[in-house]
Amino acid sequence: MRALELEGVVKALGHREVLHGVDLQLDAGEIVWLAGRNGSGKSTLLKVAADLTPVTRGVVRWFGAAPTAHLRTRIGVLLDASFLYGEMTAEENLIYYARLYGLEGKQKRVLEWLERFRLHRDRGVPIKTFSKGMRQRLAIARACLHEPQLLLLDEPYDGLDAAGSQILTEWLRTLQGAGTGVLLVSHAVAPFQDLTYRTLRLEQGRLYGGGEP
Amino acid sequence: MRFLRTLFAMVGKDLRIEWRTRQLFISSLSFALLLVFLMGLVLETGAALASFSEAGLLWLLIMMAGLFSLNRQDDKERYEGAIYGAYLAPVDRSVVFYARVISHLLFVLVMEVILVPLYSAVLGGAAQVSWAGFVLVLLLGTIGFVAVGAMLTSLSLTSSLREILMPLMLFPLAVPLLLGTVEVTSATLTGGNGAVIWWAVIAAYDVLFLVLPGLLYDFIAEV
Repeated sequence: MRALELEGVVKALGHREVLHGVDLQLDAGEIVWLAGRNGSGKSTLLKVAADLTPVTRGVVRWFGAAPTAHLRTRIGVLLDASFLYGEMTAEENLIYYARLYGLEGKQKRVLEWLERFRLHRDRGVPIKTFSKGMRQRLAIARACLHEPQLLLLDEPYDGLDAAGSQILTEWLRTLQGAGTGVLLVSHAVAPFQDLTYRTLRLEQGRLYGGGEP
Repeated sequence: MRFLRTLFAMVGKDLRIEWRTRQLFISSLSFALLLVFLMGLVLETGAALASFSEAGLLWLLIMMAGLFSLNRQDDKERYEGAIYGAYLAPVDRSVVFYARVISHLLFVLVMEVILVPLYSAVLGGAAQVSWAGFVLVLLLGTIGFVAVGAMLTSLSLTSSLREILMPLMLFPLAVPLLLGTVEVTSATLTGGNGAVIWWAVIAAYDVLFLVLPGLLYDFIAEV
């Protein structure tokens, strides 16, 4: 099953075209590594794929359909910002997102995620005091909390130490086995090189190696 | 049902953060109190203001303090891109607008509870206040102001000129509301209830700015 499809996607910011007719298909259970230089349009492509910014032209589909509010339960997004509130604790942040997604058994699930990313000891601390790496772990937990079937990750390894990178790679392996499609933007390939993945390259808003898997 | 659950979650989050930091409340209230103090200094001390001037100054005060807190409230949504997290919730995105209206309404109403008696003590001269009308116009006027403010903060969320754009957009748009609330408030300060036409203006304004941004929120958020 197709988790994500982009068809002829053009995105202009003001008068500048950032994406030029991007075609991309991502299957369930597939990991796609989206590589590219700074300013090539990777983050914009993720925002478009997440329906956080509208396309200028073209079509985005999640699981074969146009993005809807209901389908947002099936996608998880990590961008360069964490989407977290600095004044709230790690636990409160995740509980808040669990409420937004209407998850059952919020407390248990949140504690599991905090434990998975080794944040359970700091769960009562306002995250404005967190290091970059801790905040990144929490942001990943936030993106995965509702167990999405399509995961869009922008530089997920950024700021993570060796232990954090290993946890994330193991989690990606688990997701792949469970049939989750992952679109991953990263400068470095080393942390996940032992996973099975397909590589695409974005250069000046044009995608190379895209299309059919 | 999911919409309401999400709405309560968002409002609860705002209240929790405000309760913890009190930044918004203390800064807005301090600003408003300072304005009352300055008005007391520059206006003729000891002399009661005419009811229309009293009402007009009160509403300007509320709107300026409200604008101040609207800008501050948005800072936390811009921090770490948290607004995008709200946009990912599996409900209609207008929930973000309504949560913002409710949270901000609560902040401004609490501020008014402190501000209005103090303002009356310093500058008020009304002896025969129609309290029911006064409280109602305060509530309806605040709802209208908060609704239009929440819409404009959504429009200007990604703009680097937001703090300049907000007053430039907000105050002209709030003119009909300001006229209505000042007319009615002035009447209530002299024991009357105000003309029906002005009540209708306020009510229509509230309905317009509560309903329209909700319907158009996807477009507003994309600007």
